[in-house]
Amino acid sequence: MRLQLIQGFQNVPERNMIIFNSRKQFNIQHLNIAKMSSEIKKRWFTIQNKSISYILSFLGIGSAVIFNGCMYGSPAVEYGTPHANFMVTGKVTTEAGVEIGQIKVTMQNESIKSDTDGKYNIGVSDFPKDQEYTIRFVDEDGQQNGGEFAALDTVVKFTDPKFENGDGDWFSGTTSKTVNVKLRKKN
Amino acid sequence: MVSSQISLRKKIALELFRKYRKNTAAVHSLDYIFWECTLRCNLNCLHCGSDCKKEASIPDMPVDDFIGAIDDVTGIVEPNKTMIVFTGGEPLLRTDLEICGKMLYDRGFPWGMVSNGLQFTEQRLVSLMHAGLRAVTISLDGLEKTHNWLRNNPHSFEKAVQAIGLLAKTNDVKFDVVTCVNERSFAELVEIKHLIVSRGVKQWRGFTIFPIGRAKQNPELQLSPLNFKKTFDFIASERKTGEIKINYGCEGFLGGYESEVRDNLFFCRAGINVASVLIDGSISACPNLRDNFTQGNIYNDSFKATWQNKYAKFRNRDWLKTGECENCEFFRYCEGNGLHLRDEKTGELLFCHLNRIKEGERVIAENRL
Repeated sequence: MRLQLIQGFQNVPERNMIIFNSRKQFNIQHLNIAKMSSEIKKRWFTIQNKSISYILSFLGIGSAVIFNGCMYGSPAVEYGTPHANFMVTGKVTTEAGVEIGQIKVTMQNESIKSDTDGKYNIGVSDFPKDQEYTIRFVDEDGQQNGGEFAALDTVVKFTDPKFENGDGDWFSGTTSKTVNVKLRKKN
Repeated sequence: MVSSQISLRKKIALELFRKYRKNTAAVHSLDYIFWECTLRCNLNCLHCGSDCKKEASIPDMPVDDFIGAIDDVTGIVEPNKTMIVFTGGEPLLRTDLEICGKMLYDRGFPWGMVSNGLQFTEQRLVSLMHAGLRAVTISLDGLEKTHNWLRNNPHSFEKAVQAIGLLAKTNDVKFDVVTCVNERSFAELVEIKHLIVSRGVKQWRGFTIFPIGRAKQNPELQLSPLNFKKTFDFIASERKTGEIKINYGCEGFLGGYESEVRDNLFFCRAGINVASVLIDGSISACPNLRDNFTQGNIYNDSFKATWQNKYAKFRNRDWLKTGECENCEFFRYCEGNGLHLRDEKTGELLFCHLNRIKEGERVIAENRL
């Protein structure tokens, strides 16, 4: 019974704990909220900066935000690191399982469209370690190709990935995952 | 090109970039870490900013001490997006670079180094690459006579060019050449370009020598105002040919030359995205920032806590609006130039790029009269 109570208490949402717990725990919780607020602000600033980058690109100064290294510094990290290909393949269908073509699939800066069978194959090059990507599926053609579908974000995690066909040096090879998604029709 | 003429398009970009800078300072992500791994050097350069010597008074920092500091910050950085750069002194004088490099590589950090090339051999390059070396910067400050004069060594040019050749034929290491432009090398810029392009160099960065370290006592290393301005004209013109990717270094707001002589708009990221671990354990921003710019010491303080809780003077630079910056209309874009151009004790501005370019423009105007 005591164990059940503890387990139940652990499941209480964090904000509610403020009511039940001691003053000390309240303060800790309060700090967590402050920290969370700081993280949200940072995310907001990061989003703003991405928008600014796009506008600067439009103005023809697209490289403005690139960090090319510092005084006496060597080239920035994007000049090359040990790398691997992270591929995601799959099929986009309706909830009823009908394939949807021409859905825009985005993974980081890469994007492609699903073919007439709803199949897609997308990938990025990244550091050869555990990685996590958000794959975005967007219907850009409205009512065409089976109707209008709501956008969907799916997180794909590569945990302890196994790479194939590396070059034995800096290219570790390719790893892939299959992710089939069902899109919901917009009302 | 005239430094004070900034197009409307560029003004809009600069205004937007102000916001970008402020946001970046608020986010304060640590993306670039320098490690001053040794003060020993096999050269005795006239312009050295580090005051390095063959036998340094401070011994090299043990690898484990640096790795301990890196492990401390690992929780707040994305290792594979955080570049670690070994600097010095001459890093290649350390025989344990591979040990440190491998430990960084195992933790997911890419790393690079800055070298004068004097001890750069194919065997060492392969060994460093196996330890994860990803990027190298080689200094080449002029043609043979000029480079050897500045580097104070009759073999330094030959060795630097050899190192460039080795790197150019190596696929998995990215590299660039850095040239400190002075009165002698200014006249050779076109020939230097031809030389390095012929050796397979794709990226070239130009710096001008600033009054710090030994260069402070040697005014002949400074470009005249006219040649200073002409250096930017040269870079802007070469960027249009596309023969080689050339950039001016990270310092100095350049007025109308902004975005014409380097990819990015001016932004001194010291202490905003850049930290350094100096030879004595001091935690700073760029390796050139010492004394009053030091924020902590890895032997007494947590690197992580220092990064998270300090660096206030780097993130808000309003305090630099003094002296010649006080009434400058461009302070909003410049924020007091690179911090390495500030006196470490007083904070006084040692060099204004824009004013020096304007001096050069005045010389041209007077000669026309």
